[in-house]
Amino acid sequence: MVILKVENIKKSYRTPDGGRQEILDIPLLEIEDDDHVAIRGASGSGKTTFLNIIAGIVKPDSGSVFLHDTEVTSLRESRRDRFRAANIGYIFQTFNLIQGLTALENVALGAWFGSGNSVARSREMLERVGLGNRLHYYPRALSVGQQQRVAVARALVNKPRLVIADEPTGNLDPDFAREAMTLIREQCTTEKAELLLVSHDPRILDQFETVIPFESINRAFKPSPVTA
Amino acid sequence: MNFFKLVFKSLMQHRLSTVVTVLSLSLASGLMLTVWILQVQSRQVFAESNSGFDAVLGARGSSLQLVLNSVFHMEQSPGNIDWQDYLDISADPRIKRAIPIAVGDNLYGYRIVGTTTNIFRNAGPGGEKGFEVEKGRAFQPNRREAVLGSFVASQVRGLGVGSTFQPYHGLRFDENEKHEEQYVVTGILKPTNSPADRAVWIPLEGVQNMEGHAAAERDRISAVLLNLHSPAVGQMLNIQYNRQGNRLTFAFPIAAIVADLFNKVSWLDRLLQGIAMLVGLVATASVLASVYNSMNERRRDIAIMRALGARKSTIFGLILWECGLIGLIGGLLGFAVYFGLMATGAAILREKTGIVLSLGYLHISMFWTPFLMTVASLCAGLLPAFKAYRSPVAENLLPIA
Repeated sequence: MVILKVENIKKSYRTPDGGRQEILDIPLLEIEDDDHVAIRGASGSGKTTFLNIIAGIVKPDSGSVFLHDTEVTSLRESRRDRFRAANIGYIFQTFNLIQGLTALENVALGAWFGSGNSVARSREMLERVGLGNRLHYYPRALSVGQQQRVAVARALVNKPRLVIADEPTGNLDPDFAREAMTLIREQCTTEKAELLLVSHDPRILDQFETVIPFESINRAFKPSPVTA
Repeated sequence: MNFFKLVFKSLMQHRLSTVVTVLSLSLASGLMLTVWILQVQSRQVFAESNSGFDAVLGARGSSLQLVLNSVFHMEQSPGNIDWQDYLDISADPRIKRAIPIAVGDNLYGYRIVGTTTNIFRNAGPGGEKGFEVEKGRAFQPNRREAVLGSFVASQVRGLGVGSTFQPYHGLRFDENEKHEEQYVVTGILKPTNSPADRAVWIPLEGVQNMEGHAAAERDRISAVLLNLHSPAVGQMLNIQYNRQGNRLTFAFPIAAIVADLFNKVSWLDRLLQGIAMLVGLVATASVLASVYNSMNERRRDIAIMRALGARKSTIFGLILWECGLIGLIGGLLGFAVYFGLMATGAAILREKTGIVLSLGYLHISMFWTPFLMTVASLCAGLLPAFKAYRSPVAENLLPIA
């Protein structure tokens, strides 16, 4: 069963000289149920914009994104926000934790926007990622790896159908990156959430059965000329 | 997590700017409260502070000067009147109580008032309104005895029942102007919260015959304090002395004359109110500047919340509530500033006039000032809230280089 379907997505940005540069032109992408899919792509190829369109953060110029039966791109902005909170978990490269909130509050914030106020669930998620003894630590008091775990807990606290991870190990050293990736995949499996990850790190991509080269789905991709 | 916890956390995250803004709002709020309440209460208390008298009869001149001199123990005397004038008015059946007073000396700046024992409670007709001696006893006529107002007794160290003092000539204290006569304190008045508390009361003859006073003035007095049988009597005597006569002034009613003083200085009230409003406006602008400037450092947090599913309206409300809360806390803390300023102002007013202002005075401005500060802060928050509302999400989520 297809849980994510991307159809004829186009997105372009205005360039400084007043023209427009197309960065996304994706005719079709479908992700099946129970899939953990990785997208491989070079920096600046439009992967983050693509993920933001799937999450409903950015609206495409044209085309549709369906998550299960819901056409995300046709929803009004406020409904997209609510839909995202309840159905999509987002793990960022830089984790994007709010520095003024503790680990527990960061996770609870995600829970509050999505399913309502559930401190118990937030606590449970943090315990599952091994931070049960760091609940009230502020991000600055946590190591980079621990911050990543908080971000994973936050992404999964609302039992989302889809977890989007944008270079989630980009800030970690290789050993921690592998460990973090294992954790993300384990937790997604436990929570029965599909995982869509973008990365350019071969050591991470090697862990996935399904790896899609971004240039193969994005017709707007133009390789940079190699300079001598 | 809930909305208000998030608001609180955000305020705590920017605690320095929050504290500074709250303090500036509380100063503005306290200043506004002080200006309004000091003005309203002092006007009311001054108008009610007639020391138990309805009218004053004195030399021809300004009614206001006469009242200020004889009731509030301020200002110079407009002149003296004959003893016969006192005898005439005290014999008038429409007069309930007539008490002559003579001034011209002081004790360390506190006015010495020569009078008769009728001024004390239950001494003579109309005496139920008289001053009550709390400690000791009233002075006896023709003796060098004195009764202290409660404020004088509390302020002049070492002066109590049984102690002695020498008056100083004139209405302002000059240590070179000490009289030879020595007076014994026989009593201390019960506090009246009126100007009577800051006067020293001695027998009338004491002032009249004080060494150094003009011999020609020995049969004259400064004024007569009066209680009337009815307000209608006041109107009749007003016509009799002020319109038909040309030698004396009949000051009545005292409250209206004092109110006239406040009306004359109402421009000062308006000026102070204007300054207070301006301070309030500047403080409100500081909310706008502070929260607006913090938007730059908060745009990432806002983007994170949006990415987690916060609606634009939630972000808008969050910023607006922050501003409203800053305004409310500032407005409420303004009471601390108000009590501080009011206590200082009341102490100065008591020192200068004997009038006692209450810190527990309730006024409608106590309700609407915090409300006004909250609403003004909410209005100031509209611009930063709108900026947050429009803040782009995707750009602000990009990793910082």
